[in-house]
Amino acid sequence: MTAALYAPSLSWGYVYEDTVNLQMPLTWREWRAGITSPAVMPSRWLSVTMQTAIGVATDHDPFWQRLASLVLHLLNGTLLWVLASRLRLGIVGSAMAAGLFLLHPIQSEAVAAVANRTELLIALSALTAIWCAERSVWWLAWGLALLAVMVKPAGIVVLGLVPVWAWWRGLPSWTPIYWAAACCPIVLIGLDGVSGGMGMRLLWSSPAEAVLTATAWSVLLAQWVWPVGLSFDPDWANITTPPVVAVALGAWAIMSVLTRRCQWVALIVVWATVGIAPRLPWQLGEGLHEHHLYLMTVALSLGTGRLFSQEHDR
Amino acid sequence: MTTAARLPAWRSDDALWADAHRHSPALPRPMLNLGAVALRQGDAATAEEWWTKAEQTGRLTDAEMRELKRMRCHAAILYGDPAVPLEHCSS
Repeated sequence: MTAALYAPSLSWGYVYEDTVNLQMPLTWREWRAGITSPAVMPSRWLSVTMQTAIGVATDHDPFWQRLASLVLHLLNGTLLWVLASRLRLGIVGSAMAAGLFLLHPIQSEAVAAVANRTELLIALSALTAIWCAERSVWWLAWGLALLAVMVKPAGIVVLGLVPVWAWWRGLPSWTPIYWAAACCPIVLIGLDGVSGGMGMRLLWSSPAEAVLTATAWSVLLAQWVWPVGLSFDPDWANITTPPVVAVALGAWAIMSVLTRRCQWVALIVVWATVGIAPRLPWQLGEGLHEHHLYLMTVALSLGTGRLFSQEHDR
Repeated sequence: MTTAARLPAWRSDDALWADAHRHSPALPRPMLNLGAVALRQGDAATAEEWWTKAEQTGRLTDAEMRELKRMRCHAAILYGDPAVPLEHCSS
C-alpha cells in the first residue's frame, strides 16, 4: 500500500533544497570537495555520500533518488513492525503500528523530498540500533547509533534514544554505563557549538523560546491525530505567549499524571522530548518542520499500535 | 487519503510554495519563493508582485531581506531596463 501510495511521486523532479547546499554533489570530484568543506564535515558524510553515489550511478535521475527514499521508508516500517512484534503487540497491533508509521500523511515531507532523506537515515540508524540492543549486541547498537551523527547534526539524538529505549524496556544489559552514554549528546552538542555556533544558541536561547518551540511541537503532534493543515511552511505567528503558557502547563500536568499510570505514554513523551531537543534552540519559522517528526513518530506509532493490541504485556 | 492529497505538494517548487501559501497566507517566505519560481519561468512582473506582497507583510527577517535584494538584482540583470541603474545589486 505504501509503495502504491508513493508511486506517483517517483516520477516527479527535484524540489526546493534537493539540489542545493551541497546536498547533492554532481560528481565524485565535487563530493571530495564537499566532504572536506566546513559546511559538510563530518556530520553529513553519510547522507551526502549516498546522494552522490545514487546520483552519479543514475545520471542524477530524480526517480532513483526518490525510490531510494521510499525504500528506506519501507525498511523503517518493516523494522518498526519487527519491534512491535517483539513488544508482543500481536498481529493487529503490530500491523497498526507499522501501517500508521508508513502511511501517515505527516511522513510525506520526509519521504517525498529527497533532501529530507536525512530523517529516514537517522530513523534507520535508531531502529537498527534498538533492534541490536534488544538482542544485547551492544557494541553494534552503539556503532549504528553513531552512524546517525554522520547523517546530520540532529542525528545526535539517537545516542540519547537508545538509552531511553533500554531504560523503558528494562533490558538486562542495562547498567549505569548507559546513563553515561546518554550524556554523549550533550557533550557532542557542546563540541558542535564550538564549530557551528549551535552551542552558543543553546546558551543564549531564552526559556520562552524553548516553551514556544515545545508548544509548536505539540501542535505538530496534534496533527498526528488530526492531520489537516499540514504545510511545509507553517505560520507560527498565531502562537502567542498566553496560550503557550497554558498549553505547556496543561500538557505537563496531564503527562505527569499519565506517565505514572501508563508506561507507554512515558515512552512517547520521553522519546519525543529527547528527539526534539536539538530543535529547541532554533527559531520556529526556520527550524521546525513536519519531517523533523519522522523519528518521533516511531514511539507514537508503537503507542497507537498498543491501543489495538490484544495482549497487555510490554 | 490525506497522504495522497498531501503528496502533490512535492511535485515541484511551484506546487510546494503554492501549497505553503494556501496554508499560511500571511507568511512571507512562500511569497518570496513563489516570486523566485515566477522569475525562473521568465515572468519578472509576477515575481515582483509576489515580492512586493512579501514586503507588505512586514515580517521579513534580515536574511529574507538579503535574499529578496539578491533576487531583485537577478531580475534586474535578466529582465530590467538597461537604462535604469541596478539599485538592488549594490552591496
